[in-house]
Amino acid sequence: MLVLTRREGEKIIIGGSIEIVVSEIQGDKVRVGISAPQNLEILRGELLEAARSANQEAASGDIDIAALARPGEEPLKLGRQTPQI
Amino acid sequence: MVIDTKFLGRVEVEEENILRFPKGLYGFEEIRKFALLRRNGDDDNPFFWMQCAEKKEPCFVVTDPGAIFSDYHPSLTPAMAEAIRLKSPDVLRMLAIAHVDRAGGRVFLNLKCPVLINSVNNVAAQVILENDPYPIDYVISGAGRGMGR
Repeated sequence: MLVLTRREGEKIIIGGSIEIVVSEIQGDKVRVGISAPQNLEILRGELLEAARSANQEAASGDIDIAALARPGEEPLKLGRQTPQI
Repeated sequence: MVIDTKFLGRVEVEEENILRFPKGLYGFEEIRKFALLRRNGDDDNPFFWMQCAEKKEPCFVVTDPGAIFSDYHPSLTPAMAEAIRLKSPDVLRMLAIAHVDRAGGRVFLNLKCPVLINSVNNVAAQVILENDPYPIDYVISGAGRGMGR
């Protein structure tokens, strides 16, 4: 793995079309700006891991589809309390 | 084609009804073909199966999140539309995958990573809604129903 040291405001260019800029450093957090072609998927690493493990759980768990037939009497609303991950 | 399914034995599915995932699903990147199946007479059940078309597993329990949640409106990026070659939002179909926790008992719906289907060409892709606040583990059955894990 290539490891580079960068200061606030400095950039890294990948393959001519991807630009990463360290936009802000504050304590243990770094804000990173990314410019890339629109067709490129950009994800936080832990989100991809969570997606994989949810699918693994989905494939390995036995779900009784008949028991899910009536998820609730009234339609569910996600509303404002929707937790962020 | 004939599919050896996890729950329904051997099932004949027309080739044109097979969903094709050019990139597979997260964690199942090598599996490209799925069929949507339901048990005969189970037409009222909003949940059905997304069965691998090449082997018995994986077989996912899925549902149309828009039919269950009146306010589920993911914002799709141009990259997502391009992944399924979507020309018009009218032909977009969405599915959410159900999953369970290891201890059992609770069933979650993954609203963060829906499956997008272009119903014209049956090209499909699972996406991650990076910028939408939908939960990956919305509890639909068991303790804490209606909340995140």
